[in-house]
Amino acid sequence: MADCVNCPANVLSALKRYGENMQDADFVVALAGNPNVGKSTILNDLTGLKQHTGNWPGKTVTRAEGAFGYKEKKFKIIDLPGTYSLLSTSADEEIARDFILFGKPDVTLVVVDSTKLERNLNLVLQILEITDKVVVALNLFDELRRKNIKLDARRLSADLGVPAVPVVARSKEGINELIDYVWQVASGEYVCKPKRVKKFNGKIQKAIDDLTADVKKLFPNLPNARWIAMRLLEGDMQIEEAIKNGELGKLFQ
Amino acid sequence: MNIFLLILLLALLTGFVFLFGKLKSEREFREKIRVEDALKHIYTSNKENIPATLNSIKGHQKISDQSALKIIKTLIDSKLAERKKNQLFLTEEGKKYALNIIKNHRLWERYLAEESGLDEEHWHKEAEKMEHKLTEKERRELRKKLGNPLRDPHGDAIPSEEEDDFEIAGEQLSEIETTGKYKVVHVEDEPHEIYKEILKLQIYPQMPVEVTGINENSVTIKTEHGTLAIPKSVATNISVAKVETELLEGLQKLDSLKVGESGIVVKLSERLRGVARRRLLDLGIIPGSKIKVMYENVSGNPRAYEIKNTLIALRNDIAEQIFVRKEENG
Amino acid sequence: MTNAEKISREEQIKALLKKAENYRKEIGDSFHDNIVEGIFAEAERIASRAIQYPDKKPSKDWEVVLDRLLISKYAGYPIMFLMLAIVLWLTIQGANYPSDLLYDLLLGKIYPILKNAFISIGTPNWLTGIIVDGAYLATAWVISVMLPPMAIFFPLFTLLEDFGFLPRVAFNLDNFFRKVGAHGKQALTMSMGFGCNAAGVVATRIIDSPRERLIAIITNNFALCNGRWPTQILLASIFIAPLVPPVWAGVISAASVIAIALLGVALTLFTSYALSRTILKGIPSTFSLELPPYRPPRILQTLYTSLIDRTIYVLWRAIVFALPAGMVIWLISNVTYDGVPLAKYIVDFLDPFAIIFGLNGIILLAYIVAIPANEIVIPTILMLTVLIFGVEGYQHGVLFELDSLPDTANLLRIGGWTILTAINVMVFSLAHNPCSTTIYTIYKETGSWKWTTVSVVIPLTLGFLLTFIIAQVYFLFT
Ligand SMILES: Nc1nc2c(ncn2[C@@H]2O[C@H](COP(=O)(O)OP(=O)(O)O)[C@@H](O)[C@H]2O)c(=O)[nH]1
Ligand SMILES: [Mg+2]
Repeated sequence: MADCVNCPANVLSALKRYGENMQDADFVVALAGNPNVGKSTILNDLTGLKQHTGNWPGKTVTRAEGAFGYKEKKFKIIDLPGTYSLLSTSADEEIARDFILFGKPDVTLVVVDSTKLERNLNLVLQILEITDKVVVALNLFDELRRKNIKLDARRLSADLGVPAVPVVARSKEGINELIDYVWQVASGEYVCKPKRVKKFNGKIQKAIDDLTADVKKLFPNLPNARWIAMRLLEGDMQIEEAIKNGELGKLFQ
Repeated sequence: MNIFLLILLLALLTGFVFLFGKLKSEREFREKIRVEDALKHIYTSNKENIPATLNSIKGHQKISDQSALKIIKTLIDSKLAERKKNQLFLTEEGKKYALNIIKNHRLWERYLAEESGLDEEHWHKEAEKMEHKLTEKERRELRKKLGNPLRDPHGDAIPSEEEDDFEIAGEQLSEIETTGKYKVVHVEDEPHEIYKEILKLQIYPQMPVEVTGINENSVTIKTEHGTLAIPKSVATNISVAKVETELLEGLQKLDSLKVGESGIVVKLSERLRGVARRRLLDLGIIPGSKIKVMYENVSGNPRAYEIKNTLIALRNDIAEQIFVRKEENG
Repeated sequence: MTNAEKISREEQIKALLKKAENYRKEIGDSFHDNIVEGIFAEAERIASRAIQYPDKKPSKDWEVVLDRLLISKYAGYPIMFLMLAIVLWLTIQGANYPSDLLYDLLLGKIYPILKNAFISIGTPNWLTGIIVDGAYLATAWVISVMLPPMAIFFPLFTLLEDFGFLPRVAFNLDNFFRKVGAHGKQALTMSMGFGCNAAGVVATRIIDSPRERLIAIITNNFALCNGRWPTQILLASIFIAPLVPPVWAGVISAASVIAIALLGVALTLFTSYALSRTILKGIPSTFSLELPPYRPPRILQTLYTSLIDRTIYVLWRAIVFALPAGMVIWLISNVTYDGVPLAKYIVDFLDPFAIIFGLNGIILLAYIVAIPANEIVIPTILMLTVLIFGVEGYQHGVLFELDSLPDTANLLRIGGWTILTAINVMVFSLAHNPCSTTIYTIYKETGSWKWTTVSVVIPLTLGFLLTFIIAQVYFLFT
């Protein structure tokens, strides 16, 4: 798809926009990303909603959701609050984190500002710790082109282990490939092999590895044992409780 | 008209009853505070092997013989303390009680440091009040909210709910005998006057220092703010531990770079805590990142920095906590 | 699972948590920092493999040029104030024509038709009064004076927002707000308040630090909103302009209106300062402000969303409150006891109190009943004046406004207005409780009665204080 960046905006013929009609959705898509990366714009592209978008790194709306249909399937999509990270304790981050962990979306669509790739990858890598099923939208690709910067989406996708699609949400360029990947990941046609960071400071890496093994032994079905281990080391008592009262075990059976 | 008078009277009456009730509960609360403060005092005295006596309680709280006696009677009656040869010792029950108050205190200080906008000068005083108010449930919730923290902002250990003891870290800066590299592990917040001195010197827990000279009046240390001679009276209230790590030298504070200059972030001061610290980290202001001063406000504060292809404005009180190594050709 | 297995599992979980605890103690507080550093290091590695920068950097990016200009020492402030002035001017001037059209339609055409329709089907007089002269009239009034300025102001503001100009304004003005313990972004919520305080309060969501956000909410009312500009302009041209030779009339009335707006800014800063050092002292506070890249705004989309998100939202709430208020206004002026309208009793009761503040009972009553919208304060005052002073030649007991300035002036003078009354109404119009729409919005945004009450009490207290001082000084010299 890297070469499709230059082709004219796709005709979004196969896409059905359901607006706010979210009944009987087959899949749930969580929309995550830093603030001001075009999440609302993408939500509008996909659902036909007209959510407020603004060039403001702050929250303008609380929570928006909508639905779209593609290839016989109906997707419910939920705009999570824009956050820089999922490791801290702010209310917004908690909402986003809890939704990705406990809401178990079928796909998490992470919208990324391609011109600030590094900072945005910080969030992508954190999300990849929590869930496998991720599609990355490399938004604002027009800005990148304007600045003559080249971004090898295929290589990025290979490094991350999940699809990464160049998009210009404003002109709907690349949205077609994007939903196709969302569809593929949701239906299990595309199997993600997410990248997980392995290079922490020695003492910490050892602690994480050790605890991860223990968590895995106790909860063999958990897709994110390492993340749980990291949360424990961070002192997250909510996770501690979820382990103690068996909620975590129930979540992934 | 009569009916108005009646209503007025009734209103006044309820007012009085209410006021009276409030005064009474306030008095009870003051008594609770005294008893609990005495418990804390006996606890630390026992722990440090200093005798806890009627006189020491009197001196600690600055109260009369009579009040101190009353407190001791309450403690002994409720089986929180025992008297052995004029000295007071806590029972197991009493130790647990005292430790809970200490936990309350330290957690609340941590909370104030991490999540409130209150200046560090006020943390201790607020916590002195709050430690008597928090219930066990509230304490557990607070702990959860804070991510089960290990230490309070003065460097003291916060025992977990299961733990029934804690260790006192480091040795007093006034007592050390050898020069060399140390790390501040604890800053004592009482008495307040000396604590204010320490704050003025910008000395904080986790701060690396190098002791270069010791004489009978003062200890000379090299810090990130330059070389300081600390009077012994202040040094007794600072605890340090020996470390291997190098004191980072030749660093500049971010706010001292000029527009157009750039540097590599070396560390964030430990005084940046909680939300503020995490936000900076999330923005990519971490050791190794390049940061360039782009613009400044007419007044020079705030200034806009370029970091990882993003323009971010920071105020100077934050920027001065970010240590960078200036890049020459930046 | 057998019992034994269950127990051993519980043991294992306990062991796991204990182990984690021990590791935590060993690692200490630096865990979080280390994790973020590790993840960023990986992000940097992956990004550098995927991204290739151009060999030659473009010599001068237009964004940098623009920033140099907008943030520069000399051009920054003038450009900002010019922009604000243009937006406000466009709003106030531009709204005139559509406002007149709407007024003509809703009040000139539909109102008589509606009234006749009610009468022709034999509706009792009092019911026609409550519904048509009360509820309908007030609501129609609110719509015709509120809708046009908002439909102009909000899109303009949203365009500036979309372009990326507003964060620069926050950056430029932050030093003032920092000194009073507030956030630079408050400059924007304040500017938004010049359009509409309810929208300004909603806009405070851009401030992510709790303390600064509360400050911005509580003080937003000091930004002179659209509903109050016309009052200021009217009073300034009637009472203040005649004080100088006619050539200067325009200048002096404009200057006095601007002075009131600036007094609002001063009150904002003062209140922010006081709040941040007293009741809001311990509330969390952080500062970071991202300056996003400039982006060409999308005109149509902006028009649409600003209309839906902001204009309709505010208008709808105003209507909801205007309906019952209209009824109340009609009732107090038409229901009589002993042949005297209720309003007269209330006005007589308020009068001795109002005098101390250089106001009068009519004004206070108007501010009480016209709480849904500042726009209907002047019509209510005119109506009450006619009613209570029994002025001939006007319809009794309904809201109205006069096209002619001298007629309005005349009427107000009959009501006993002097220069002091005018000045104090101007001040009180700036500093009194927020309109009901704003109060409701504050409650929705803060979720707290306490902060809502504070937001009502503070401006009201300051308003009474200021008018009291002005009145006493005035009495001293006359
Ligand atoms: N040039 C360009 N601008 C975009 C693109 N996508 C979004 N934007 C703009 O980026 C800004 C933020 O978009 P928004 O959807 O509100 O971001 P959110 O905060 O993540 O929901 C708006 O001004 C959008 O018009 C894109 O692909 N290209
Ligand atoms: Mg959005």
